[in-house]
Amino acid sequence: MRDGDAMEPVFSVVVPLYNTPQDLLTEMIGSVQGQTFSDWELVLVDDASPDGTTAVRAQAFVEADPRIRLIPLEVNRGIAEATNVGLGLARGTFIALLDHDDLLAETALEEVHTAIADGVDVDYVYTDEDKIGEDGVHYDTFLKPDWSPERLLGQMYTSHLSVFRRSLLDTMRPFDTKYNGSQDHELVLRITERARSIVHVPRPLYHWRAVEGSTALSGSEKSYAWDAGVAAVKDTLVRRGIDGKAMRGPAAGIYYVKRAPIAPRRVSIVIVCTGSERGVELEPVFRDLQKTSYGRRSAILVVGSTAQLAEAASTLGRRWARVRPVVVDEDASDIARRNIGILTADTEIVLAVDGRAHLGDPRVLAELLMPLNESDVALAGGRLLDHRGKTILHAGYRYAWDLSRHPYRGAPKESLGRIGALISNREVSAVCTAFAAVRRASFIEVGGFNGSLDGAAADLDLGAKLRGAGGRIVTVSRAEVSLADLGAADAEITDVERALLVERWGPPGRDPFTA
Amino acid sequence: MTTDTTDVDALRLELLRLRDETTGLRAALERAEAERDKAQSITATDETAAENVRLRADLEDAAARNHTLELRMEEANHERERSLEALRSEYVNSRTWRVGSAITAGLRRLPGGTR
Repeated sequence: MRDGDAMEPVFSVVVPLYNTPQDLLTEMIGSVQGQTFSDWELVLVDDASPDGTTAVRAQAFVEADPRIRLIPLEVNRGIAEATNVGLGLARGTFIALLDHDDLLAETALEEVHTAIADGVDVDYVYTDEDKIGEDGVHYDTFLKPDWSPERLLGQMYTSHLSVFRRSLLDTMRPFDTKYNGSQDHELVLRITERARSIVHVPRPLYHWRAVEGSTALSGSEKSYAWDAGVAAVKDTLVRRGIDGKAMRGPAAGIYYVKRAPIAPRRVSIVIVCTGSERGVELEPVFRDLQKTSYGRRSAILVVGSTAQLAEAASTLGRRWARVRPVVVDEDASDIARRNIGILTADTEIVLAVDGRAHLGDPRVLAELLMPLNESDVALAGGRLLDHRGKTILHAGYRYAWDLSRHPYRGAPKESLGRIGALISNREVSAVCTAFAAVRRASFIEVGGFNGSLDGAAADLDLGAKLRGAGGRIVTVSRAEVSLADLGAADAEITDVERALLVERWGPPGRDPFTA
Repeated sequence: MTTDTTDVDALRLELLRLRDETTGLRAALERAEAERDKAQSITATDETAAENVRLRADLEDAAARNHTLELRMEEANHERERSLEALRSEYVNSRTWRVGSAITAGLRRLPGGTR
């Protein structure tokens, strides 16, 4: 584990201090001293606290425990610079960041150490966290997703506890004061671009103390941090060569990344007439499509039996001239039709639209397609609302058999979701393909939909295959359409389907992205 | 031509099916290997370690279930708030409220009237 120097501890826990109340200082240091893993040093940096006592009280701890060091600054430099001083003097192989009034769980360092030892070339580790009130009660546990780059652009979700490999940090600019308030988000955005392996420990090992003035109580307590975060995300887009803009999202600490729209010529729209549908029911969705640039300029394929297509042609009239009909046998299964539709398309990206969908806002197609600007995003799914457009039917799958596979189902569409999960784009295990955009090459590479599955089972299997091939699957918060119901995606997953899913992907347990 | 097209479609679908089967088999194999490795590592250590692994899994499961319950409670609270808001709105917009409000507004303007 060590870099070869026998004197280096495994962990340096770096804590900037500023007017730290005695009791909080004692508890914070106590939580480090009480760690089950003992190979650490604690680096306290007193940022010239004006109270005159913080450094004195911290010094008492230094004198009692040789693992604790105090660096008193003569001039106040702000939290980012003060932390940088600590980072520069830290000797550990890994650096853990701790705020002066927060607490580490007793096994925090041990569990992080285990995760690093079990992994390969782990450069960044983050854990779950919770809040601790003034009464000592823990609440608001944040069970975080596994590594989710899209979500990180929209929200500093990794937060505490963050642990970095020091040798990687040494090659980079540390905390940048230009982003004070969101300096940690900015650093994590940069370091995760270079980290060889990123590990999430799914246990709440950091306790964030909720006090007046801290972001634990309310993001709006530090609104300047929000603007700093926008700047951090904006500069990240520039650094990564992503054509897009960053702006404030719908709530404090949430960011909206508006990427350049995907050109219509790169997209085919595929609408499948399922076995029971009549082709005539396509009129509303075509009406909505025509309001969008994709509806006017992308290829549109309609898959159906001869009778269904004839009926649709008759109803749609002149609109049918834009359509490339794909004829299938009348008894072709819905899954086979979807496979045929995507195979027949000859563009890089295929946008699958349920013929019953009400698109509403014409911008939803562009929003849905935007994440596919990233070459490793294989599938993007929209948010499905009920027929009134008021409650959520689907916002990304959890890998589960029962209807809990649609988390947030029934929530009002304005809901923020757990810690903002519904108001930023995020990675998920799978999406309902009633309204989704897939990278056609990725779809074909993994064999498309499995022919013996249907509905949610087929979607879950496709999601797992795409992720297994290295693709990311993203649910897009601003791409909302209404549906009367989810159809086959709501049907029970049969025993036969479960057996196949279990054989390939194991039984449901902890979903990597949705608790 | 139709026959050729159909043949091509059939071939492409068959290729897709084979790719799916390969992907699925590979996934099943990797999962089986991971399970075997996990079983071997447990066998190599003592009973306490195996119990530790089991308990950690239970804890993880309980945390996830707890989180789900918290979510459902939040959803129920949302629903309750919406219902209350709907009730309040119905009352405030009712004729009774509007008439009463107009009367009490007039009373407040009288000298010595209610606040």
